[in-house]
Amino acid sequence: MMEPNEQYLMALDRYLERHLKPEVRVLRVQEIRTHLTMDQGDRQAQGLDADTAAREARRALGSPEVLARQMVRQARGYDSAPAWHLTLACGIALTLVMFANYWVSPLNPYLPAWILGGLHWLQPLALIYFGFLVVRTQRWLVWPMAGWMVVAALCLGTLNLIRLTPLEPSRDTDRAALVVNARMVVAEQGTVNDWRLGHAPSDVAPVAIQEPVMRRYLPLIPIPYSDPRTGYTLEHVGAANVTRLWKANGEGYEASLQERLNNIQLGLAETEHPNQPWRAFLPTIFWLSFIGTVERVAVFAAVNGILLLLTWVRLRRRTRFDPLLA
Amino acid sequence: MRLQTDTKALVLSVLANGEKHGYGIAKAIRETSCGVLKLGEGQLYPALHALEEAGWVTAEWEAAGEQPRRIYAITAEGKAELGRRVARWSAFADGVAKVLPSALPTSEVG
Repeated sequence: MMEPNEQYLMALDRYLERHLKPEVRVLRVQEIRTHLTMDQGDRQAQGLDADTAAREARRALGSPEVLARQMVRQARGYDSAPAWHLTLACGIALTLVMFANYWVSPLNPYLPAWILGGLHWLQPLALIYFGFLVVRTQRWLVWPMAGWMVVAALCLGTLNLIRLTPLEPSRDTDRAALVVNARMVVAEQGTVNDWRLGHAPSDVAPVAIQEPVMRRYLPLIPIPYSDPRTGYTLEHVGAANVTRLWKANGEGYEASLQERLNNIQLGLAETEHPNQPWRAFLPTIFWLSFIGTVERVAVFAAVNGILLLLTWVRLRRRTRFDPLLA
Repeated sequence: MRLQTDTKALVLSVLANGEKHGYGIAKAIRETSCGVLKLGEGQLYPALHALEEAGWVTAEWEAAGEQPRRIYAITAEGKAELGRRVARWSAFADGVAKVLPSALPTSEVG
């Protein structure tokens, strides 16, 4: 049977196998072998028998898994590289996904379901990638992600404002009227089975639609086939209210559209600077961006904290119950 | 009680007194501190490899008996870094030393 020290070194080698180059791994394991031999020799010189001395030497080094993890972290720079550097790819990817979701949102009724579904699920994929980074680096990586979220929120908020800024008030009113009229036509036709409507945002869906749609329920985590009434999207808070009105009263749908049109015209007329109606939306956009950012950062913090805790507990248990250290 | 120590400074400090292998460094730290400081799981070797990567120590394999040993030596940059770390630690320790006695009852302060 193999000596416990050699078993220890084999376990260490196994943990390092997938992470270090073979030539580096051999040297690392050899260095630990020398350490164990010398420590054991010293303890035997103090009067311990060979087995006890070897066990104490292993205990002093700790679990081979913990040792290997620390070696890998050092070798890959996980313990010394700046957190923003480690999360760069994840931050850029998530920001791009948020932009993509923002840009396609007006086109939802006209895009095939697989594109919309894919875009919805890219955000949780970014979250999973973030979790993978946390497990690999065993570090607190939330702050750089918070930075990315703030940047994305500021950019999206600015885009929202730009979208809301009309070049000509009268032209903007005309456009809003055209949109409302088009929606009325769709509602009267009641194209329930239209392939586009199952994934349409609530503010363009006709009353008759009862099919559940995919919506974002938690920040970053969409729940497929959830009831739209329980759906929660910052981008469509107003639209969700209108949806409820439509569901309560089919005829109210048209009335709500008319009301929206009136509000648009009223807003343009009463605004101090008729060509800058976005000023009225500024506080709302700010708060929605702020809440959205806080929500996302909270999710990242929760994932980071839970994974670090689980890793710590697992490694403690591994050390405590490692047969080579007992 | 667990206190935060600067493992790299401890290692550099030991090597400033002469080159040593990994086990020798761990032993020197333990013995010099009368057993108060023991490098825990996975601390020593990752720290040594990080110091080597930073250019603060150099390492050479030495054939000695059955087991070849890796001997570490501090570089000039390592000595400069040790100076900076000692200065930082001294400032920290001075601050703690000034604050801690105020927590003791007056009669115990002397």
